[in-house]
Amino acid sequence: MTKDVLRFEHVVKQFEGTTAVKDLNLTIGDGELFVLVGASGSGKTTTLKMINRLIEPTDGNIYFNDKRLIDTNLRDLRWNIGYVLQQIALFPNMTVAQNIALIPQMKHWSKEQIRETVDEMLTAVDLEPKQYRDRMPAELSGGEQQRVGICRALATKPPMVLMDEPFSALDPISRTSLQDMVLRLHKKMKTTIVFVTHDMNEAMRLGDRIAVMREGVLQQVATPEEIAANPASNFVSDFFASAAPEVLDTPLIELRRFADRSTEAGEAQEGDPLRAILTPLGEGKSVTVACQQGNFKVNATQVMAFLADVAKD
Amino acid sequence: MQALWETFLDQRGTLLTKLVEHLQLSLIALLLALLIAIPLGIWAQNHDRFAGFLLQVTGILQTIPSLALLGLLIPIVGIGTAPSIIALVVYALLPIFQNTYTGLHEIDPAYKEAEEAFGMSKPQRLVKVELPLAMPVILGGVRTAAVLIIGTATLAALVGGGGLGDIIMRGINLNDPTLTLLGALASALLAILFSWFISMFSKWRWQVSVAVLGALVLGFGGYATYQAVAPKPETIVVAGKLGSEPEILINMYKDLIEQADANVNVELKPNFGQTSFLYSALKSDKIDIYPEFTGTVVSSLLKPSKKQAAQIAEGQDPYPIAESLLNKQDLSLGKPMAYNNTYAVVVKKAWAEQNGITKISDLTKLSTPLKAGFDVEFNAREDGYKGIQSKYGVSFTVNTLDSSMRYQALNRGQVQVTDGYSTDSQIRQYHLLALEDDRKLFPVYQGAPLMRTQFAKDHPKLTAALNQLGGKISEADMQEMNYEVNVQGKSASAVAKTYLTKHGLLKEAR
Ligand SMILES: Nc1ncnc2c1ncn2[C@@H]1O[C@H](COP(=O)(O)OP(=O)(O)O)[C@@H](O)[C@H]1O
Ligand SMILES: [Mg+2]
Repeated sequence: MTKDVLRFEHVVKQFEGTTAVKDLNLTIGDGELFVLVGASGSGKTTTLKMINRLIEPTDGNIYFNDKRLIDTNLRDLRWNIGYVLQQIALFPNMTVAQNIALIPQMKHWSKEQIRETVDEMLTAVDLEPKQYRDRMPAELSGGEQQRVGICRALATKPPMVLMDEPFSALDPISRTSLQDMVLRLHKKMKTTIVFVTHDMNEAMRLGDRIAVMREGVLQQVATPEEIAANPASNFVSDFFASAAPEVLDTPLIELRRFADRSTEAGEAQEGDPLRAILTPLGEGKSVTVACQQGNFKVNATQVMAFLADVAKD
Repeated sequence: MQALWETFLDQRGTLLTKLVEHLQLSLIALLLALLIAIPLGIWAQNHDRFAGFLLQVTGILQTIPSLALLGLLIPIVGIGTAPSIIALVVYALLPIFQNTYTGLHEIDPAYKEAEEAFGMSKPQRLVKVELPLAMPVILGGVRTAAVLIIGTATLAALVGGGGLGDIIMRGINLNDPTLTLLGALASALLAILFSWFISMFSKWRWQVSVAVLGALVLGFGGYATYQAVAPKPETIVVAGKLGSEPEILINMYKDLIEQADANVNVELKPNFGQTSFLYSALKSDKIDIYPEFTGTVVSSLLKPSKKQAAQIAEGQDPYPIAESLLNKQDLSLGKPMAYNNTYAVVVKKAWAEQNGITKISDLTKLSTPLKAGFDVEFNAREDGYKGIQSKYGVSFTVNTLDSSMRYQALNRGQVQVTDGYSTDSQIRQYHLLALEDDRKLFPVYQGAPLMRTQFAKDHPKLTAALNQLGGKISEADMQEMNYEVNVQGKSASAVAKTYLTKHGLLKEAR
């Protein structure tokens, strides 16, 4: 492994009443895509925010390039660490380009350089610059907004980027394509990424290494393969098991391309699992699913076609 | 509607000046309020306890009745625009502060987290993100404040602050509802326009809004500075109390002064306010001349000695006493006019003739007590109804009425006697009779121009010109002139000119 960029030494964070992070020891290597995974409330966000000092630890030290965080200039630190929020939080009063140009502008880049960067970044996240540059955030879909959010964090090519459940609010299809995009960008830019998620699937898909957290305590830090082969505890193995894709948990929206369009009111939601509609399908009825991209109606034959497709790969 | 249109055409010059005054007053107040409340609202973000405290204070300030606030301010800052602007600013603080505070406070914390994570400085966060995001809410507060200010600014007229309130007050005092309506409509229209204008602000980009606001400030600021700095011919400010009579008189003063000295410019401030305002405005140099009554000087402005008070009570002419008292204050009173504008006991002329009554003492001849409608104050005064009872031995069945109602009550026969003033136009209008005060109960109120002694010395030509009115204008003349203005709707300046010309005081071809 290459040299470490980030090191947690006996880091503790207490809030009134709770200890969010307990004696955390962790190193993150240069250029790694490091995933922090755990259930809600396990201390992931707290850990992440201690890296860019949105939260200060109660005890212990964090080193960035072997320098203690509290000894670094706060502004420089934050300009060197990109940040992507779950809430996306593109500034709604600024255009896409203005949002991306935010940090370059504070760094007094030339207009020329800023314009080039904006276009380059937009292209990198598969948004046509000409078409998207001057749009307002409200005119974009959730997936497009988060692409811009990633552009904003990466615009100055910082050595490290933090992402806090960036895709958990998106629909499954956008989520998959954004995951692909993150993998691609990471390969290309070699930025160190610390990625927080509660979804073990996502962690397995993205992580070079994965850290599993539970109630503020680190359970295991390993590659996805090691975790699959040697879970450190029952908890980890259970959590890992939850990642094995269960076909009956497939959200109904995945069936859309096999189904017929419908204008009827939905009996089930696009996010419901396939198992929820087994009974009516078994009775030979078809089911209408409410979907943002247009309702659709699915019957048993079409479900079989979907299953055949899944079995193929 | 027709009447309103005619009044509008007739008054459009005044309306425009008053409108500009009103707008100036409102804009200055709004700007000051913005300059105070917005920084406070920003600052309060990180001072929650102080924010709560400020919200309470501004809330309390807002509950002070506007009239009371003006009254409280007068002893501190005097009269004119200063107390008006201060009062308006006080009212505008709450909505602007509140909306700035909540607008900023309610920004989604995710944006604040993002700003912080991107290493934005405090000013950058405020200017680039938070103020623009809070702008619609802030502008909502500014809008509320503007509408409040424009409405309340009509009260500035009460303290000599000018504005559309002058027109409204004049309408009330001249008993001309269309004039009042005109002023009120103009003020309402201004408020609507302003509110619309501000709502446009939220549609423009905020830089544009700031530019527009800046241009407005510079425009008005520049205009005001120009007015203050530009050289002018000497301007003499002549003010008058509320009502048609002072307005007619000051128009006469203007004509006479301008005839006597072509190099001065007379600025009239009709309906400038109540006696005490005018008096303090005169002493503090805000105005130069106003018509005052001898009776008022000795009864409410200055305190005569015991001996003098006794002389006045015996019915002696108060003019010499008033003059000597005023001289001690470095003020001079010009020659008094003929008419005595004092309390009067008023009855219907036809009824008086039927019963052979011309003087108050004649009322003793009637056997059944008459029904009287008196103003509350008159009813309680020693030189009012109480004096009538003691000096004349006459009693009535009294209903107290608001002074604006009494002539109508008399005219409709609801009462047979009422109090009034000897020069009221209604005496002429409703064919009434002011009974002679044969036992000299009522004090003598003779009008004369009041000015600072220094001013009189500096302007001998003008004092001489004004003294031409000494001994002129009878009660009947004044009743007639008031009638022409109040009832027939003639302008005070035309009525004044006609009188002066007819009596040879003004050369015709001017
Ligand atoms: N600002 C805070 N004040 C008090 N408790 C907090 C605060 N932030 C987080 N916590 C608590 O710390 C624990 C870990 O929270 P968090 O790091 O947000 O978890 P995760 O991101 O894994 O869902 C939770 O119990 C949470 O309630
Ligand atoms: Mg979290």
